[in-house]
Amino acid sequence: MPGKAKTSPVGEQDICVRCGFCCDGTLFVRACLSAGERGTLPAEIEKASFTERGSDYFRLPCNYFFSKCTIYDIPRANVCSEYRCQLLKDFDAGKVTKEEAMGIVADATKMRDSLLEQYKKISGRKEKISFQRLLTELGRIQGNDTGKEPLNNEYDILLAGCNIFEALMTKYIRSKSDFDKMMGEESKVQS
Amino acid sequence: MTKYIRNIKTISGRLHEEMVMMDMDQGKYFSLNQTATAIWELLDKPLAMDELCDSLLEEYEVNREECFDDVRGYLEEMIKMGLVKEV
Repeated sequence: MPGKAKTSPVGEQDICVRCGFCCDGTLFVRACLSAGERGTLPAEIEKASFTERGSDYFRLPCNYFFSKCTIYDIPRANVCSEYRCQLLKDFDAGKVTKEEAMGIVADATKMRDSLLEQYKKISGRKEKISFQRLLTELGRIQGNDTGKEPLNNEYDILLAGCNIFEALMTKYIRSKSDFDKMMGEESKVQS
Repeated sequence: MTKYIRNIKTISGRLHEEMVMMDMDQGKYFSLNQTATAIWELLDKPLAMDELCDSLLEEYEVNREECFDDVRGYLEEMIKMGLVKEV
C-alpha cells in the first residue's frame, strides 16, 4: 500500500517524549544518516555530521534536544522518526503497558542521573556530560590506570554501576537479544 | 537450621523485573530474574528456607510445596555463583 503512513500506537509518543535516551547520548554516541541526506539536514545536525567507512552519521547528543526534540515539526534526519527502540517494540507488541514503559524510563533516568552525579562528585568536574561521554571518560581513566589498584576505588565502583546500567538499558531499551548474548546463560539466575 | 544471607560484596541495579549485579570479588556480572531478585532482596538478613517462603507466599500465589522447591533451586544456583552463602 504505497504512500500509507505508519501510525504509531496510541501512547507511544508519550513514552518518547518522557524518554529521549536515543537523542541525548544515553544510548548512542552517533546516529546513522541515509545516503544522500547530508546537505539537506537542519543546520546543527549538518554541523555534527561526518562520514566513516563510507557511511554517514551525526554525533549525539543531538544539539536540538533540550529535554525534548525542539525541531519535531520540521524535516529531520530519517533516523529521528524511523528508529524504534526495544521498549517501543515491546509496547507495540503488548508486552509492556504504557505505565510500565513510563516507569522503566523514569527509573532508568534516575539511575543514569545518579551515576552522572557520582562522577561529578568524584572528578570535581562541573559540566554536564552525557552517559556515553561518561563511559568514554571512565575508559580513558582506566586506560591510565596502572592496574595495581584493587577493585574498591571510587572509579571502579562507578564503572561497575555504569556497566550494570548499560546492561539494563540493553535489555529494556536497546535490544533484548543483545542483553541475552551479553550476559550469557551461565550468568543468569533464573532457575 | 541453615540460614542464608546475600554476599555483600556486590553492586547491583534494578530496572523493572530485572536485576543486574556485579560480584566485586569475582569481577563478574550476573542477571537475576524477578523471583531470584525477590529472594535476593529478602536476604539482606539471615533467613532460613521456611522464613524465605513465608515472605514469598505473601507476595506470590503459589502453594507452599512448590515455593519450597523453587526457593531451593534458586538458592543452590545463587550459592554456586557466590551470590548467597550459608550462615
